[in-house]
Amino acid sequence: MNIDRILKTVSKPGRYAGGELGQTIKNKEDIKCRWAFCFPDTYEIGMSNLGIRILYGALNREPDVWCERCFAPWTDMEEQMRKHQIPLWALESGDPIAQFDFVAFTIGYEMSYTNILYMLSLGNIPVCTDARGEDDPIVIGGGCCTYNPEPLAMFFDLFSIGEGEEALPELSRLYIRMKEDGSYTRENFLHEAARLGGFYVPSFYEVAYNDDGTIASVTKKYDDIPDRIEKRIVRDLDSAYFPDNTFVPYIDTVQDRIMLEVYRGCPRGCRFCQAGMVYRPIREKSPGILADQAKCLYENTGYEEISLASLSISDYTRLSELTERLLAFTDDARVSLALPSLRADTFTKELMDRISSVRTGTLTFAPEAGSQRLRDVINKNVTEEEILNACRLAFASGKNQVKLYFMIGHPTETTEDLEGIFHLSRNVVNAFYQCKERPKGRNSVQVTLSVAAFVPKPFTAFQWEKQDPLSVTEEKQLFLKNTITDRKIRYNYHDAQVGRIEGVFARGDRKLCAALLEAHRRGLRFDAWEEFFSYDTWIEIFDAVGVDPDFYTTRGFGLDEILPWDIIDCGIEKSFLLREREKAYQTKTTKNCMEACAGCGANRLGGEQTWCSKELCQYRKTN
Amino acid sequence: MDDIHPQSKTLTVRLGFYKVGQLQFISHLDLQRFMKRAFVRSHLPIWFSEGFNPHPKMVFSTPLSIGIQSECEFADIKMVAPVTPRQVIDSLNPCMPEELQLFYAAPPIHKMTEIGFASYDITVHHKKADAAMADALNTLYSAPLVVTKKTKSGDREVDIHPQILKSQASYDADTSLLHIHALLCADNENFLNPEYLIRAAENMLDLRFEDPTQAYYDIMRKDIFLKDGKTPFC
Repeated sequence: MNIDRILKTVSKPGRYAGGELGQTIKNKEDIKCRWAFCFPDTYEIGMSNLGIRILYGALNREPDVWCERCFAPWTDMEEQMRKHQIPLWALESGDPIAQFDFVAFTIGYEMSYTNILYMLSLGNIPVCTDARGEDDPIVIGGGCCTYNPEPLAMFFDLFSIGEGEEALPELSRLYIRMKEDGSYTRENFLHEAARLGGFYVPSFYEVAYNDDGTIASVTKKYDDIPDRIEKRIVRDLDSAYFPDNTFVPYIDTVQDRIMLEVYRGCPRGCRFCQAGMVYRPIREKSPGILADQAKCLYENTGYEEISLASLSISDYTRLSELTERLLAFTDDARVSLALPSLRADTFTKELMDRISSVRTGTLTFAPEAGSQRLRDVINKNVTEEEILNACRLAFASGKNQVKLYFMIGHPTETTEDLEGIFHLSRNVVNAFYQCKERPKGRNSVQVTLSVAAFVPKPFTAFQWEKQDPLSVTEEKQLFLKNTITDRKIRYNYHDAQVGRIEGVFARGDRKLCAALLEAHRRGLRFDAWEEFFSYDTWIEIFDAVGVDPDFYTTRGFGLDEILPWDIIDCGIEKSFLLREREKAYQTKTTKNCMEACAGCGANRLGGEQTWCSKELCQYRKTN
Repeated sequence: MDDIHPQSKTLTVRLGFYKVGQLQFISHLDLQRFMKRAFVRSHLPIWFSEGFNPHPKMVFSTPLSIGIQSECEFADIKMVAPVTPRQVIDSLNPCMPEELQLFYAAPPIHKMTEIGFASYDITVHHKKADAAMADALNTLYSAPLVVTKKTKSGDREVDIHPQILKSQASYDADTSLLHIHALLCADNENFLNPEYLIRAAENMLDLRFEDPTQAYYDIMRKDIFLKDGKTPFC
């Protein structure tokens, strides 16, 4: 049936129309391997994902491979699809995703897990691996959540661990070769994939549990597959594929701009931060290459803004060279530069002058904790004076809105630490009024606090920690609400209930597959959306399948316990994380990678090649 | 192209384009953003506003709802240097999707405020479609016709008959399709969305469109006219 008739009946039909500038259309007859790249959320969110854009381009560079896109249909579209038996289709060809060779999911948030099952079932693909036959697509997952893939083990034939722009084309070649030489069966292919390196086939590993629910052992099915799956990394980002042409969506998306990836990894080592660990080692791109790519992207898209993407942009060693090169063409072209992820301690007047996001009037910093003591515990390495200085600079240049990100529930947190959030914010307000350089007409200030509840994540120094019980988080939120009395300070906080469910899946094991299956059976989807999230339903589901949420959250994990994510090797040594945890409890900070090597271990991923070499450290120090 | 405004030293070019197929699902607001980027890619000497957030200014002739195609859309854009209509079309069209192509570029002759009417072709696929239904529609549209209009200040009962300048429904027995040709008010104050012709038929003639696999309709805007209802806008 012509889908247009359905599109006329749903909200935001542009989500499903496809046809955007930058999409790849191929002749099906030339294609030996088709990928449906799925994002388990709406079009607007999925199209903002840089990873999908890179992998889409990397796969489509292969002449006999065609990668298309697919997003989670909103519920009004779901209703129409179910009513008229329209299976989930990929945007480029309009073909049902069940006809593809690979159905891939980028998984970046625990609360999107139910959407994976939702999309599979809308695509008429059996949600469990053991129900899939030879002709069903291979369902593959990747993205930062797959550093602990265990809660999804039952639903994925394999996971791509680490960076995919080289691994996925390789996997496609393996698939095509095995199809052509006749050796392909589902089992053979998965076995070969598991031997490639960087691919985890959960069905090849059997997990046994102790009576207390902890993991007793993991047994592998074949001798020639790895005990632990080492993540893939791209060794040289300068020569790695980066799309020089990209989508220009018709409808407004969350990140509707050029995203230029400046470097991977982060030198900081905040103890709560998963991204800061799992994307190591640090690999920078050269300013010349970045400027060329930016110019090319600008000419191919006509975007009016370039965002410099990284985990901490002011730590890029050659930032001034890069911004200079970029400004050489962006000023004439009326293109603005956005530098998200700024750190207060490295924020300078020079940097301030270069970013044209001045027009927004808002600047964002993330102190993450209210007191110096707690900031030392989490190894944030930012002082109050540095934060205030950064704000003064911003105020002097005409900004009058500051956004501050905090987290509550860090290990060792006390009432004084919570009060510190208010004190720090009030000092920012005072800094505004004391700032004599601020332009005329800027007479009032707004400090917005965004306070999240800490969820311990795998591969961090806090991966063993107890998560605050729901009641404690809610008490702390209420305490802050009552403490923050200044009307210049706006206090926003997240739903503590979401944090608890997120926490369950973040450190979950395979027993949670049953919970996800039950959630799917009950029709849950879009749990990342407030209007669909139902805490009570989740608690009922955990009850029904015999899962105790506290086991994964408030219990805390034993230091010698086998962790569900031990099967993955992200490069970071457990001994390093233990050392960092110990130092946290001693309120001792660790120097960032630019100042001294803390021995995290990620450097070994490159074999002989080292990234955090003495020369680079020296360069960072002198520049 | 000598339409240079003395104060601003810019010249305005009127673009005529069609917006069909999948592009019917893209709103004017989204289109504005998309076309701005197409202008950048085209390297045409587009005028940008001053300030922190420079942007080209684009003025669309008449609103077009999502889900309605058009063979006749107009938008005005300012240039900072003289360009020929051919240059505009040749530079912009390669930067636009196939379903949105320019057919016209010229200095404006009429003011946007001179627009009076727009013509539409509505094609109805429905099992109730027959000659009698066509007659019923003709009767329906030729007398006072009260529909419920959703406005910002709530629902309002409005007689849309004064906004229907002409309408002609006919039945094509070969294709089993109903065709409605209508000339409707399109000026700012009295703009009538062609969807209301269908809404009225749903309510008065029980011509329902609940299941899109069984019954649906396509609307195509054909032309835009001045207040006399005859002179094409350009």
